[in-house]
Amino acid sequence: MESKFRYILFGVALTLTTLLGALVFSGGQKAQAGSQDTSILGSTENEALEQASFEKLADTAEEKLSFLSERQLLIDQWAEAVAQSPGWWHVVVRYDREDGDYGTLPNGKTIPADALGERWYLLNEAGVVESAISIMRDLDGEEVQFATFQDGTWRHFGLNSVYQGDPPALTWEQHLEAGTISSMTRRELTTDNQQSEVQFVIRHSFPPVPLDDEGGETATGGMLVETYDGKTGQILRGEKVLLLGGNEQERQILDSFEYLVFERVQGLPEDVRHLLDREINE
Amino acid sequence: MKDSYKRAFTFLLIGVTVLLLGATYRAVVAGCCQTYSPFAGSTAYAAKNNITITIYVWRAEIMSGMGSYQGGGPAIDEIGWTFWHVYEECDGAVWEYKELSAQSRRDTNWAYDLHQQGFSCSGSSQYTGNRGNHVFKEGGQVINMAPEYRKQFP
Repeated sequence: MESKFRYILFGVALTLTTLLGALVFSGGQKAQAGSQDTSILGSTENEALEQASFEKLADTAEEKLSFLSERQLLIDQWAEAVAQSPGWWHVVVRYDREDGDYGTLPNGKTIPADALGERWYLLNEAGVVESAISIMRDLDGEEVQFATFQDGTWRHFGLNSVYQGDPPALTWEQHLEAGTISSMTRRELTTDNQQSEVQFVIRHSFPPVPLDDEGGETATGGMLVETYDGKTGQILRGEKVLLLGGNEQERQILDSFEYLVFERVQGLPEDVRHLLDREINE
Repeated sequence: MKDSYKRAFTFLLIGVTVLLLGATYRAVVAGCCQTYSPFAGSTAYAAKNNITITIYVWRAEIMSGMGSYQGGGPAIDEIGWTFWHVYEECDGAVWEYKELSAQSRRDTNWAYDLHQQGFSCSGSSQYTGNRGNHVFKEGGQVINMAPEYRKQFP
């Protein structure tokens, strides 16, 4: 019995050692990869990006951290205020993009460059979105596509597909790493009706990345412009720009947006409520 | 040592081993983007990947391979994909849907392509999507695999 026990113990210990080794190796690989991904082909491009970013970080780290901290406080302030009011929320955002071909959906609708994103979110007591409806319309108000989220499932009628996924976020969430920012500007603005706004211009630079859509152009940086309500922390508008020639003159505006509506509502309009009952015919 | 203690200790070790086996399986298998099937005396792999290059630019990859998703197996009559679509999604809406080139390579064991573009929308919930039908032909045999890869951006 004693000898049998020793064999079992030895076998189990050997297996454990092998498994622990495999896990440590796997974890080490993930840690090396950091927050960036790796190509199927094992590209090391991202290591170069991180290195370049760290070189630029040293001079202005404290200032950037201070601006980033203020930005995050504004985001959190608005998120906490919204979380205090569970129920249905209605959000409308206007998007403005450069003219171009953004493709045709499997439902046959052409994706417009400029559009309205109209969304409803059901926020629960814990501040988590339980249900959501997202409708994209063109600027004439015609529906292009819609999707619903219920019980952890997205139903994308434009894609004719169903996906399991995390609940969408109702408030603005764009986490930024200080180490990837090359410079950052903070502006205080006052509107005509004396509303105070805080604007951040966040610039990134990175090693040249060839783009397939820009006729061989190479992206060398980017810029985010975000404007927040200085009192409530709500994001009001933003812009995302790709810098193509290493300076701010050669640029492609990927997207600019403006929140038109952000309101707590008593319930869903009848013509929207029925969308939650629709099923995908795959 | 009493037999009852030995048995309890052995069960404990076996339990921990089973848990670690589960963790190892997840570490190796989960989170990636490939599927495979026995084919032509080897294995046919269909793989897709979406990579965040920066918070402005992403890359979609597609690969059909024999033996592994990077090739290495036997050459077959035809390998590639019949369609390849990539998309960007923001807050529940698709903001760009792109139809990329099909590819068909003959007498080889792999086919690969990539596409890089700026991420064209800003949102709180952002995804990149990569879908397409991989095809493998050898003699009279044909198989198709169409795994879709969808990943949170950035």
